[in-house]
Formats: sequence, structure tokens, C-alpha cells
Amino acid sequence: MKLFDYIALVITVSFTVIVFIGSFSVKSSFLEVYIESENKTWIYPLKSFNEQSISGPSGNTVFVIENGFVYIQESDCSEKTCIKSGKIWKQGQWLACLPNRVFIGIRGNEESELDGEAY
Amino acid sequence: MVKPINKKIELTAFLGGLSLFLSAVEYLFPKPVPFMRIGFANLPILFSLRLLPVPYILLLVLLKITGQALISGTLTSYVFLFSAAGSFSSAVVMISLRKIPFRFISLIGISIMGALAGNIAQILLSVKFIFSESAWLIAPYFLLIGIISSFLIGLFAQKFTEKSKWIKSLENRI
Repeated sequence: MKLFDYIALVITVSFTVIVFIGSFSVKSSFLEVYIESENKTWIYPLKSFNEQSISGPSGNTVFVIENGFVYIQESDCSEKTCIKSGKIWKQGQWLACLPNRVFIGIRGNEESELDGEAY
Repeated sequence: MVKPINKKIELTAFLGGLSLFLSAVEYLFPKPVPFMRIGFANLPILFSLRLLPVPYILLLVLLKITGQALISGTLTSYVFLFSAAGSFSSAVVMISLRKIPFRFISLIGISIMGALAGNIAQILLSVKFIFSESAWLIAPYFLLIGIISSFLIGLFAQKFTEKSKWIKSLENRI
């Protein structure tokens, strides 16, 4: 084994590792954030960047979508449990501000996307 | 008077035939996933790098992909285009590397880089045309198998080239 052989091996293995790590972000591009308030619904891709204020009976709830995470930044409720719940990032996880009637969930999975849903 | 056949053409044809045989040998091995080929048929191409001029090497690559396609029955399918793109990308990289002195690189490194180039080309094509982004999910495993098999095939090619009297005689005659 000569010098460039080792270099070739290192290049190839690092490239494979990079692709492996990169493939995780592919999974999140198929997930969507589903937000429901008292009278409106929103859907955003998990991969997007968003900051939005939703008004409800108790006031405003501000949620943020960034870097594949969703969390509630501010809320006018008294308990603030929704903020304390922290971040969500996986399918099935959810956040809710009950006084303000706001529900945020992550849904969608790779199989349904591959089958080609049309809206 | 019968003109002797050009030695280069002879060797190219022989290696092409060897490639066809090795494509058939690949079928002995179980394939859990369709696209993961071991690449025995690349062995003659590795030999040809230091034995034949560039146009003959490319001709050999053409023979190799045609042989593989005939054996696996994919000659008239889109898979053939993938195979062609992968094999020619691989050949271009290996041809560029072949002039590096033996002190620095052996057939192992050339084989690994060639396999990487070919696999990347195939992944990019499959992302663009067949599977979209989800092809990246299988890409790391595809590349990993490629590294292991290209290393082993390169190792064999290198050892064989060092020890073989037959190869030595070819190097002198051509």
C-alpha cells in the first residue's frame, strides 16, 4: 500500500461518512409541521424556517420552525407549559397551548411521500 | 501474406472476453440489493491501465459494459445508461491517475478512486432521474460496499501484476 492509496482510502471513507450524515436531513425534508388554532390550520415543511404568531382566546402564541426543530417561543397563557415543553423534531411529537387552543404536531413519513401524494 | 493482428487489439479483445466471463462469475454471489455489484469485471480494466493506450482502454470499458449488460439482461433498459455513466466516469478517473509513478500509488488506490467516481455518478443520476432525494438514504451503504470491493479487487490486481510473468511479457511486447 502506497501513500496515495491511503489518501484515496481516506477521501473515499470521509465522503461516505459525509453522505451518511447528510442523509439524515433528507428524512426531515419529508416531515411537515401541522399547526391548528381555533379556526385556522397551517402546514409547513419541517425543513423550512418560520416564525409566526397565532392569536387565540388567551392572546398570542409565537412558534418558531428552524433547523428541523419546532418550539414555542412566547405565549400569553398563564402556565407557559407549552414553552417549557421545549423543542420537537420527530414525527409524532407535539406541542400544545391549551388555554390558547393551539396545537402543533409533526407528521408525515417517507413512505407516503415516495408514493407520490398529490395535493 | 497474412498481416499479423495488431497486438493491442488482441489484448483488448482478450480482456473484453475476460470481463464478460467475470460478469458471469458475479452472478455466483448473492445480491441482497439489486444495485450493489461486486465489480469483478473491473479487473481487466485495471490491468489495461498500464498495458494499453487510452483509446483502447475506453474501448475495453465499452466491451465491459456491453458484456455486463448482456449477462444481466439490461442492455436495452435505462440501467444500461447508468452502468455506462458509472463505468466511463470511473475509467476517466483511473486513466487520469495511471501516470502517477508506482512509488506513490498502486492499483489499490486507483481502483478505490475509480469506484468512488463511478458510484458518485450513478448516485447523482439516480437522484436526478429515478428516486429523487430519497436515493441519498441508500447512498452511504452503496458507497461502503464499493469501497470494500474496490479495495479487494485493487489488491488482487496489484499483487497479480507484481507476480505475474504473463503480465511482464505483455508489458515488454506492447
